[in-house]
Amino acid sequence: MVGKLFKHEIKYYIRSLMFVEIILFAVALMTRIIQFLENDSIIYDIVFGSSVIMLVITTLAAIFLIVVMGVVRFYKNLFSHEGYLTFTLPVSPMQHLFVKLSTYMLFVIVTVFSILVALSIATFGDVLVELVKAGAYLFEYVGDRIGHLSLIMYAVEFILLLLVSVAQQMIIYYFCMSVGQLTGKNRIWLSLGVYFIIYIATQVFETILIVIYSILDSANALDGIIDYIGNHIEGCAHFGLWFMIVFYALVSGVYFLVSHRIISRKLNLE
Amino acid sequence: MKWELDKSRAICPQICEQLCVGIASGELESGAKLFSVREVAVSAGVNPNTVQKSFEQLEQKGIIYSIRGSGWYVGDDTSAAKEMVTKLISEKTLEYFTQMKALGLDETEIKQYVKEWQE
Amino acid sequence: MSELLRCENLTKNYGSTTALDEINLSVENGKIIGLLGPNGSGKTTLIKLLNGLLTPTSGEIFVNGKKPGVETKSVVAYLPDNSFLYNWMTVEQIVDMFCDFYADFRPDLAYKMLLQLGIDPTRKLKKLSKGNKEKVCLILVMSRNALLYVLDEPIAAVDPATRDYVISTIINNYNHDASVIISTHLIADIESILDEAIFINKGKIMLHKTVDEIRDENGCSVDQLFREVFRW
Repeated sequence: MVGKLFKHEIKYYIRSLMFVEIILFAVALMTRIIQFLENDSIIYDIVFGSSVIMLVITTLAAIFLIVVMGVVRFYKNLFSHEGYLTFTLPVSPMQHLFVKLSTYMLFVIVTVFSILVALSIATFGDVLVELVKAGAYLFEYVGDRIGHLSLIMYAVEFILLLLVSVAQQMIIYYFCMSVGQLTGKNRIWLSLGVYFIIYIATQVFETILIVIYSILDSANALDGIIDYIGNHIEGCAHFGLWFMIVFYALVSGVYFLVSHRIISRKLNLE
Repeated sequence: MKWELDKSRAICPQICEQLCVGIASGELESGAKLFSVREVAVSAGVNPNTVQKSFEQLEQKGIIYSIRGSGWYVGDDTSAAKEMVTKLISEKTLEYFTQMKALGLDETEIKQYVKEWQE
Repeated sequence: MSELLRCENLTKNYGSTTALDEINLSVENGKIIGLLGPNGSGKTTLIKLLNGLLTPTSGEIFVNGKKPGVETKSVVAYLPDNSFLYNWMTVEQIVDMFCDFYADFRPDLAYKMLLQLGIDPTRKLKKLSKGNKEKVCLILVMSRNALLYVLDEPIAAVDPATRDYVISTIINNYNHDASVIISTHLIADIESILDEAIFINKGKIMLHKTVDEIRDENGCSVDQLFREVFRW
């Protein structure tokens, strides 16, 4: 059944994103083609500039769209009248949540790749070659300094951290919507309210951490730790990154499980 | 077959009655294949269990019989069906008389009306 | 003889309101049953509980011997009183989806009914009229070969000709292993196809009898008894 859920979820995303993808590639292609007509006139500058601006706008739109879709699809399929069908399918709530989140992440990755491909198309030729050369040079330069393995690990850690952050953001939206649907009339207000509270709470939490740090620091209580970090920058950087990945994953897990609990026990379809 | 069902009475006996009327009048011939339970249920807009019960009751009285895998058939002996119809007729007549009396007529006047109506 | 639905002291509270109060109920296979009661009587709550859309406050509910969950959902066919369709799909796509998720779904029957009702399978659901959407919902549910059909107001929102079609479909679809629960206020239209009637009010079951018993004992139709019982 999970396979079938994936099939339908993926179909939905493809159908909704196809339009933007086509526009993205069309604008990238157009930008590239325009460059063939390069000359010194003002007209060329204006046309080329406009094309680049359109490309940037389309890229931002693609990013914006995928996030909006993640939210809208979740709400509509689970909490609108569609919920009467969705929740009577022979599928568990956990399977529904898992499939929705996974498909969203899949299409975030697809969107990022499309943007990279589109940008490559737009810069195809000399510019692209130069970029690739610069990238390779940077890789070698840094690699020689800190070891190729460490560099690759940093890359992996950054990507993982990025993925976990993106997932966490959507899971928080899922959580807010799940809490929101508990009420009858004011679902949206309650969802926004919950989101606002989470936002403020996160800010407060971070501020408290900073304050604690400052206090400890001014009392020179952290000198030992800071020395250690100074002597083991590599190891601590990696540790720090992994710590954050795991921490975000755990926080996401909590929001995910609470959302699951609400959906399983306290579903409130109109 | 047109079905006229009074919902304020149990439906099962009404189906029996109407089938008997059809059989007694010859509209449903002896030995002929009867509609299936499902067909009757759909055309009468009635629950199939009710129709099944009716058929079984008629079978008990010997009015119809079933052949496994084939369906229901009208029995050869129509006397039981005719008996039922006779019973129905007297019930309806009693009903008629009661209704007419409620309109203020007595027996002689009722018979008068019937005679006039016949002409 | 199998028990398709069983409720034991089933209670559901919403805050301080009691929607269902210690309901005890048993539904056997091979029956068409009317769940009859005024608005707010608890019909919809009972239906949602049996579909696993709500969880009981106390007491138990069993569908085909199991608590509502993934297994029971594959043998229950539910027609809610509002359209449940994914409007962005076409008729064909939602038929395919039902094929995917329900092993007991009969696509040939669905297409036959769509043809009979003059609905073009390639049309987008959002472009259909309200009446046609209701028909599609009904076709999808009746094309299942489920053990328990739960129809919430199946004839309220359709025209009289379609009502006859709905009633014929329910009768034609009848099979000895399955049961149909019809929740409605339009009792007069539906009472001839019922085996049993359940009267429910203020979360309590007031009556659960065969319809012929009701007619014999009260000398009137189920509809007339209902009006008597639920008179203001």
